[in-house]
Amino acid sequence: MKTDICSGSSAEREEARLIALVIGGNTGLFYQLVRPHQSRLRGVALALLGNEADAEDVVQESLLKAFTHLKGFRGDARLSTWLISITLNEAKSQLRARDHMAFKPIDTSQEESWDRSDDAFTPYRIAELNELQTLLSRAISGLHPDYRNIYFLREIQELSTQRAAEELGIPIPLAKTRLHRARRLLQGRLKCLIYPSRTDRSRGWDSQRACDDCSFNNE
Amino acid sequence: MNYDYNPSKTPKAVAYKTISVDGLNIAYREAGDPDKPKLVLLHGWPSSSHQYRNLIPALANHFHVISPDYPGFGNSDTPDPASFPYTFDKLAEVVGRFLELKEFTRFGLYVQDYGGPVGFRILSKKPHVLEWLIIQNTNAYEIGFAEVWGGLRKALWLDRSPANEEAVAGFLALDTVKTVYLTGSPLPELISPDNWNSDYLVTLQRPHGRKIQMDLFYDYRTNVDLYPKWQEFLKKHQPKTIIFWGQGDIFFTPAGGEAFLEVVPKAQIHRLNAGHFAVEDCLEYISFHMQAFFQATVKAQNT
Repeated sequence: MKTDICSGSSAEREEARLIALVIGGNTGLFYQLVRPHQSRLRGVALALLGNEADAEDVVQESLLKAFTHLKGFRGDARLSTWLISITLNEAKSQLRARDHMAFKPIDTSQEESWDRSDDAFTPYRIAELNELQTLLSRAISGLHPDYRNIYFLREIQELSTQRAAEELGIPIPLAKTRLHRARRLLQGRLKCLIYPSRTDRSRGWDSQRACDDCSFNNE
Repeated sequence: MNYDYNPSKTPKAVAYKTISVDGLNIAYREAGDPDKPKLVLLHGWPSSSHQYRNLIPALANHFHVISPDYPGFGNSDTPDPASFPYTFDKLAEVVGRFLELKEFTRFGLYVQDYGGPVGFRILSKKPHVLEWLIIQNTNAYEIGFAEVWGGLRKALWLDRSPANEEAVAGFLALDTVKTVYLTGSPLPELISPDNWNSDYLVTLQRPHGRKIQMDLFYDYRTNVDLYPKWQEFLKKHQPKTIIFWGQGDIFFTPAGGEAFLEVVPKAQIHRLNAGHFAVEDCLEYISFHMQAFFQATVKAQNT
């Protein structure tokens, strides 16, 4: 992930340097390597799980998996993409462990294969990631253009805040505010899309909040 | 009766219990599934298992964690020092018995400060109980003593006179305990005042508090005599070891942490910008690297 102050290329070089050092045995640097991604991973986990405590656990588990499988990360994808895919799978394992299953069970034999070798991308996993992508696209397309555009430029195209703001012709602080709002709205929308049945059958706090969040989109 | 909410024990919930160890009530914290690998956390001065209150739940997904309070500390019984010897030999004996009663026969061991003298004594007698070792700011080398030890090393240990006791009594003041927690931390606002208030009021200010602490201060000299033995133990058994060392510890120098590498060269060392109680402000880092080390080094070797 690019940070606001770094240009993409130097941030990527720094990331590659840290990865090499960690794999070379300098394990203490791992936290420094993943720290910039943590809030995004937490957002992904929170969107699926709906509560902070579970999301935090999932992020910790995902980082542990990433740490133990870092040698398998070959750098042909972005580190952020790799971390997010691990987090998505961990979050889904967590969902499976709950009584209310929102996803169909996945092939558990795939759980440990985080190597970026070609065979790790089985048709099943691709389908699974596609399913999530569809959900995400639906959620994004439901956003007001003000939020959709900034989210698209920052999170999908991975532009820096500065470049995204230039692209949209808005000041940087406004771009930041809109991105923050876009993320929050998406979390709410994803919850609605992932737990549609829960909203019907339970009167729990989660579903209530999910619907409140959804209604924001109609503002 | 119908309740709107009934508490249940979640996997990471910490239980606060006591167990009778040869007639003494020993208080301890416990969390995690008993089928998971076992982990023992031994506390330092002047704290209790309270110092691990956040680390225990952070590790409870992967370990069956237990942390006792030594006699005279925290919530454990405080027998009268007139009849109960407050020595490291005795503390190690009680903790050793405690672990037997809890059926902890093989475990990872986390030692910080006083936890080292207690833990290394247990390991010297029963090397086979150790699965892996976590060392955090505890001494096994004389080079590890910072200047503040002067009153003990150069006076009290040579002559336990009332004057020499009085000279080190300042260690038992509330402000000193606060200083122990905050020295070396770049972000002191992350460290809760509950720490020093609780250590001071619950442990240091209890009846016989001063006598108990002085007995242990004086007995600490016996640890120095055992340092070569502990070094030899580590050298001989080469336990899987991870070291976390708060570089700004008021009591132990950075060199005291590095020194362990002489006998366990394969140990993984993490030099933290922190103090004596590094878990306070480096919780996430320590918990993450303990779990990562266990998975990558300890578990990998066992399978």
